[in-house]
Amino acid sequence: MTNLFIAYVAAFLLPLMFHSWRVAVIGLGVQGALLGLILAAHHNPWSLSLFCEYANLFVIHALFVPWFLFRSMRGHEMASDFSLIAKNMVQWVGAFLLVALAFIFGSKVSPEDSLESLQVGTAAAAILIGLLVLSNQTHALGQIVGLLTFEGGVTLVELLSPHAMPLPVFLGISLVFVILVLTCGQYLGQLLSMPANGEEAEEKATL
Amino acid sequence: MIALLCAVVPLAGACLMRVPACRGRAASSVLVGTALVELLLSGVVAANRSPGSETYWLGRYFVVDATSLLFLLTISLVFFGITIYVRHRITAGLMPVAFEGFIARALLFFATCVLAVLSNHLIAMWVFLELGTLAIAPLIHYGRSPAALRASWKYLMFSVIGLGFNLIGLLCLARAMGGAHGEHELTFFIDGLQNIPSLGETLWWEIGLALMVFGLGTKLGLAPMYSWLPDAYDHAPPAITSMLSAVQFNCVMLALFREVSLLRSFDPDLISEELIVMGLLSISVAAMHIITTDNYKRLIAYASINHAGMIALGLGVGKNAGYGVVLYVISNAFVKAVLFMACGNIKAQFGTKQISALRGLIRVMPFSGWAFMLGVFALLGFAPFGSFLGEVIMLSNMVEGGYLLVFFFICIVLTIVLIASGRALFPMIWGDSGDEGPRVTEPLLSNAGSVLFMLILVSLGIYSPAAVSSLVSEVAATLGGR
Repeated sequence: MTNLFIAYVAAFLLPLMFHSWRVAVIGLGVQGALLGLILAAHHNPWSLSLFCEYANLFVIHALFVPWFLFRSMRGHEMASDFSLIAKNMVQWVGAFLLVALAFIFGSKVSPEDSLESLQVGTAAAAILIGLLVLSNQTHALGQIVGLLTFEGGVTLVELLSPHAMPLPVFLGISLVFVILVLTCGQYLGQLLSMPANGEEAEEKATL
Repeated sequence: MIALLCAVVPLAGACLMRVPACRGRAASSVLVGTALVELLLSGVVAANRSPGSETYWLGRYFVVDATSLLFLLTISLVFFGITIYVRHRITAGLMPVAFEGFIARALLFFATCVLAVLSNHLIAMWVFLELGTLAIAPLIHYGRSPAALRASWKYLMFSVIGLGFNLIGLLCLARAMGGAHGEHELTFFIDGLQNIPSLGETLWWEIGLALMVFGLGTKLGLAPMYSWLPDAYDHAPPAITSMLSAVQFNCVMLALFREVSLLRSFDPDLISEELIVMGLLSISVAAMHIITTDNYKRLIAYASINHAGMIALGLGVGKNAGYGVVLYVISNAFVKAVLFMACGNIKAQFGTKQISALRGLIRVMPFSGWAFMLGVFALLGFAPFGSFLGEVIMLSNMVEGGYLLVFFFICIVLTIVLIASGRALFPMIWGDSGDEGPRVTEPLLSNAGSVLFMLILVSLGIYSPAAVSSLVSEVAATLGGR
C-alpha cells in the first residue's frame, strides 16, 4: 500500500520535471491506474458499486482521459518547451515544499495511524500540486492537467472516506467527471484555435 | 411526485429541441411554455404543502420542505421572466441563428438547478450543482468572442475548484463522523444528519467546515475567490448573466443554507467568524471595484459580490438575522434579473457598456430606463423594496448581537458604494448630453419580466401574503432566526 502511494506521488511530481505535454497527459492516466490499484488494495467486498468504481478508475481515469486529451490535441501545435511549472529552482523547491507540507499536515491530522497519515498526505499533496500547476499555467492544456491532478486528489479523498457512496450518487459523481473531461476537451480545441494576439471581437450575441 | 415533474418538464423541453417541428421560431415558444408549465407545477407543489411538513420521495433523495419550496418558487419565477426576455430577443432578431442549442442547454441547466434545490442528499446536491455548471459554462461564450471564451473558461475552472473544495469538505465531515459513530451510521441525507448525536472528531469537522464554506464561497463569488465573477457576468449574454446571478446563485445559496443550518444545530456560533471575514472582505473588494469601473454591467457584477458579502455577514451574525437574510437573498434574485435584462436592452440599443458614453437613458429608452433605475434603487437598498427590508433586519441584528464594529464598517462601505454607484449611474439615467437621439419604442415583451419582478420586489418590501411570510419565517427558523 505504501508503495502505491509513493508511486502516486511520483506520478504527479515527475511530469513537473519533464518538459513535455505528452508526459503530463500520460501522467494523468498513470494517476488514474494507481487510484484503481489503491482501491484494489483496500480489499473491499465485491459489489456492483465496487465494480463501477473500478470501471471509473481504470477505464475513465486511466484510459479515457489521456486518450481524449491526445485526441483533442491532434492538429494543434505545441511549443517544444512546454512545462507544467516555470523551469527554475524556486518553482521546483516550492513544489517539493508543498508536498512536504502536505505530509506534515497528514501526520498532524492522523498522528496515531501512519497509513491514514500517508493517505491524507498524498491526497493533500495532489491537491496542492494541482493548484500550483493551475496557478503557473496560461496554456489551456496545462490548466487541464492541473485541474485533473486536483480532481485526482479529490478522488483519493473519496476513496479513503469511511462512507461508501450509494450507487446512484457514485454514478452521478462519475458522470460529472466524464462531462468535465469532455467539456475541457471542447474548450481546449476552442482556446487553441483562438488567435493569440487577436483583436477582441465584439460579442455577436446580445441575448 | 409533482415536484419531480418540475425537473422533468425542463428536461423534456430540452429534448424537444431535437424535434424538427420545435426548431426555429417555435423553439422560443417551447422555452416560454416549458417555463410556464414548470412555474405552474411549482405553484401546485406549494398549494399542496401544509406549513411545517416535509415530503420525501425517490428513496428520500428529494424533499419538499420550506427551504426547497421557497427556492423552487423563486428560481421558477425568475426563469419564467428570463424566458420571456429570451423570446423577445429571438423575435427581434437579436440572436445568432441556431439558438436551439442555446435553449436546450438553458433548459438542461434549469433542470439541474431544480434537482439541486429539491435534493435531500448533500452529495447528490453537489452533483447537480456541478452538472449545472457544466451545462451553463459554454453559454457564457455564446457570442464567440475571445474575451467571452476566456471568461467562460475562467468560470469553469473556478467553479470546479470551488465545488471540489466543497466535496472535500463534505468528505472530511464524513471522516469526522466515521471516527465517532462507526461506518454504518454515516449518512449524507440531510434529514439523517439532523438526527446524529454529534459531529465527531473536532479537527476533521473543523477542516471540513472551512473547506465547505470556502468552496461554496468561491461559487458565490465571495472574496478572495471572486475574480471569475465580473468577467463571466460581463461577457455572458444578459439572459445567461441573469441565470447565473439569480438562478444558480440561489441554488448555491441554498446549499450553503443547508450546510450552515445543519452544522448550527450542533453549535449556534459555528463558522460565524469565517463568514463575517469573507463577508467584510467581499464588500470591501466590491466597493473598490465599483469606484473604479466605467462599465455598467461590470458595476452590477461587483454589486453582486457586495450582496454575496452582505449575505455572508447576515449568516455570520446568525441569531435573528435569518429572516432578513432569506428576504435579502430572494429579493436579490429579482433585482439582478431586472438589472441584467435591462443591461441587455441598453447594450443592444447603444452598442456600448461604457457608463460615460451614455446619458439620458430614461428619456431615450423609457421602459428599460425605468427598469434600470428602479433596479439600481433596489440594488442600493432603497425602500420600498424587499432588499431594503432584508438589509435593515440584518443591520439591526448586528447591533442587537453586539457586532458594532462590523456594523460601522458596513455602514461606511455601503455609503461609499451608494456614492460611487450614484455618481456613475445617475448621470447615465437622467443626465443630459444634448444629442441623445430620438426616443426608442420598446415592445412590452422586452420588459415584461422586469415588470413582474419589480411588482414582486415591492410586494416583498411592503406587504407579503401570509403564506409567503410564513414560508420565509420557516426557512429563517432553520438558520436559527425568526
